Amino acid sequence: MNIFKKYGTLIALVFIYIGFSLFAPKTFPTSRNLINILLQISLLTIISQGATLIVIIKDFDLSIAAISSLGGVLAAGLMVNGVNIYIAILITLIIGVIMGIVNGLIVSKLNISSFIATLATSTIIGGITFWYTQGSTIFSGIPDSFLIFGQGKIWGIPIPTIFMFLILIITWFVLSYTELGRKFYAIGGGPEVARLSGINVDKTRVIAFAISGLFAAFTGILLASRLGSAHPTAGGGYLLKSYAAVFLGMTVFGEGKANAFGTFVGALIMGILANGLTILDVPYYFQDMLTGVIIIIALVAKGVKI
Amino acid sequence: MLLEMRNITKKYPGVIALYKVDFELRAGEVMALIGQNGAGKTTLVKILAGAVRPSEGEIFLKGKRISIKSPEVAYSLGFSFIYQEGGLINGLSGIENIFIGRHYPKRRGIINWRELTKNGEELKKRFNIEVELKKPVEHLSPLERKKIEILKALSREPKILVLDEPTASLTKRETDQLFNIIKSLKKHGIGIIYISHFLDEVFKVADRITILRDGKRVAMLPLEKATKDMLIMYELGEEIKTFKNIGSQQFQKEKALEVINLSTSSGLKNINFTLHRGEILGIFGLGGQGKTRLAMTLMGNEAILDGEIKIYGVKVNISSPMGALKKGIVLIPQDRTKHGIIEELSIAQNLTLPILSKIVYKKLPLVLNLKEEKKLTYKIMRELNIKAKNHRILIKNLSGGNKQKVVIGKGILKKACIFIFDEPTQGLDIKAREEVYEHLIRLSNKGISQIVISSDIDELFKITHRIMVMKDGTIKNILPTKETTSHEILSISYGGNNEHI
Ligand SMILES: Nc1ncnc2c1ncn2[C@@H]1O[C@H](COP(=O)(O)OP(=O)(O)OP(=O)(O)O)[C@@H](O)[C@H]1O
Ligand SMILES: Nc1ncnc2c1ncn2[C@@H]1O[C@H](COP(=O)(O)OP(=O)(O)OP(=O)(O)O)[C@@H](O)[C@H]1O
Ligand SMILES: [Mg+2]
Ligand SMILES: [Mg+2]
Repeated sequence: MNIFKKYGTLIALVFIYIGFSLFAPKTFPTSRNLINILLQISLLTIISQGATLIVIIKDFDLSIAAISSLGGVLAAGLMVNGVNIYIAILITLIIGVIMGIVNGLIVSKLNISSFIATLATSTIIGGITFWYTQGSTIFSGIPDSFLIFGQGKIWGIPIPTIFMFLILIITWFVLSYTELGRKFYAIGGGPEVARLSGINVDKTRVIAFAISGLFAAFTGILLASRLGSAHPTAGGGYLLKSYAAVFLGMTVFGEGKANAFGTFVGALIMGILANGLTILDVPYYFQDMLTGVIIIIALVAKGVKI
Repeated sequence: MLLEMRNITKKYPGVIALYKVDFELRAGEVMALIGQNGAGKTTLVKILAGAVRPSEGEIFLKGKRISIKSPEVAYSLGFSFIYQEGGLINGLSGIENIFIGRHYPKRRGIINWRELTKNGEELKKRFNIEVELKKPVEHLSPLERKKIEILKALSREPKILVLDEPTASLTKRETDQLFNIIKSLKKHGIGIIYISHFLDEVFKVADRITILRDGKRVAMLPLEKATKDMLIMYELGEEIKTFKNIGSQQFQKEKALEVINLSTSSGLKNINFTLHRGEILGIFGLGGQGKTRLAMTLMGNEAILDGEIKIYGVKVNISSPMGALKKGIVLIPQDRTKHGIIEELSIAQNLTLPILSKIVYKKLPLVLNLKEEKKLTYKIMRELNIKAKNHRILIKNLSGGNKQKVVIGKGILKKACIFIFDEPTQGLDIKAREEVYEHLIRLSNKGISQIVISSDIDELFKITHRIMVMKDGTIKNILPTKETTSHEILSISYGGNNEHI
């Protein structure tokens, strides 16, 4: 009884995996398919790690999808115009951080709810992206050496998956073992108490938004590299999915708080569902419906309050 | 018998909060429920409130077995509660809080505010409680909030009224007011369960006494048979050693803190006082007179309009809590849920919040040394006797008194030259209170200056060098403790007019 309450989401993950394995024994439970699933959730997991921080400090960052779209077209655009790919990537990441900082400053200094503030900046960033691309997709002229980030493999493991695990481990470490991570949890639990304890709440919030912006821009770059093209709304799908992963992830371990590995498990559950249901030829709209239902069941069963 | 609880057991993961407890209550009596911090008092009450389901046991109301599945059921059965913490909804006014969950009077579907206000005023008059009903409750002082809670409980015309430490941070007169209300309720045949750590109160108000220790009922006896020492023995399982009065110790001449002509946006006017090295300066005042506002100002949490503050002779500009901490001022706040602790974090994580940058590895700055954190936490848990299975227990799972100990621990872990304690012993049991006094004296002997705000005047007389009286946002008088009496202090706080005392 207690075990189910505590680890219900993990148990569900195992059951879903076993279920698909029984229905599609030849195609689903293979190592190739597993690597495939991990690749499919790599970018989602990376962008969701930023969302995890934001949920921990009890904010929202609705601009992550827009930042990742801009990240893709900006990096690709710079390269097409002859900028060295590493410099293009660096510039894009810096722009992502700056956008995050702007979000953070609006939220903490101007005292506007993050939901509204980032909704507004999201629209602005979307506008900038269209202005920059004039609404068209960038595909010709992207250097081949750039494509390796999204399409290459090391020892059979796709590079985005390696990035995912790297970022996952860093986020987990920061959240569990550093001053910064502790401050995030403190601000989420009681901003007033945190402030009276001498924590610079505004600065810490800005840092969270900056990291969120950084991961979003990085996701956009990887996506452009993986697709070999950059579309001004390429990252659009990530917004809802990443928060879904975070909320699902809150139900994974003991205490009902957002955390790095929980978010990964959340993304994994959604990835396995999408993959398994596709193998079983279930239409995609049904997959979306199922994902939504699972999130609600998990949160209710665990009694997580958001 | 109005209420009977038999064989009540409540287990939490790793903790047995109550074990085979029997409890009873007659109509028209006051049953005091006492016991150390963490003994299980609040848990017993929460079971009656339907907030917690017992693991085992039965409850009977007037001989009929009942099952209290939810707070709604509890209310419909005639239970009313004044909770130890958090019984009001912030953002709503007093009047809205009092009548919440019931039908507000309406006219053509719209809330009839005039009627509602009239009901509130009548309620106030009936029970002789004076309090402002229109302000949002988060702007009220703890006493004012407690009064709203009492009105809320009484407005439901309860058959059984449960008060869980209602007098924490109330002054004597306010407590006496409450006792008068309780007496009149008894006459109406209402059964009352009264939880308190103040034995004097128990002797004033109770008819019978139930004592819990470590989740077990160790005694139930009528008041006539009880003596103070006996109750303490039952409660602690040992005799209490009272610490020695500070009496002879003197503070030094050196000025640690000087506040000159201070006025704030929160309504403090013309505050002038000096705190010396090693001095314990008490602040007394009735509810809402500005004690907490002064503490918050010194902590950098209120805008200063005029005046200056000097620390050891140097003029300082304190504009944020971070700044105050850097100057060596640490506040142990009164409102623990709002300012003191974070419920969702563990004991260790709460205690080290102000000293995070001190517990990082030397060679790996920014990375927390969790071993060090654990060591410090266990030290504080031992020193203050915090009852919990380990340092990772979340604050929300601690008893009220143990939470208060964490608030104090969090303050004293931080090195400071000036401590401000705002009602530090609220909710603490007899033993813990003595331990805190001892700690303050030790700090004083080390030359650390302290301001102790307390509504418990006896406490101030036990530990302070001087007592300062606040009224209407300003300082009325500062008197050496040895040269004054509680009578004098009270008469100053009531405005030099003795007739109410
Ligand atoms: N939700 C919970 N989860 C786990 N343990 C709990 C929970 N609530 C209470 N406890 C534990 O049960 C015990 C009894 O707590 P309770 O709040 O009833 O004490 P109390 O007698 O009211 O103490 P105090 O005088 O400090 O208010 C304590 O050890 C406490 O830590
Ligand atoms: N700007 C202001 N001007 C006047 N009164 C104010 C102002 N701001 C808050 N108050 C009032 O001050 C009261 C709270 O003051 P404070 O918390 O300092 O009281 P206190 O002396 O600590 O009381 P208690 O003994 O109940 O803790 C409330 O009634 C609040 O409405
Ligand atoms: Mg209690
Ligand atoms: Mg106060």
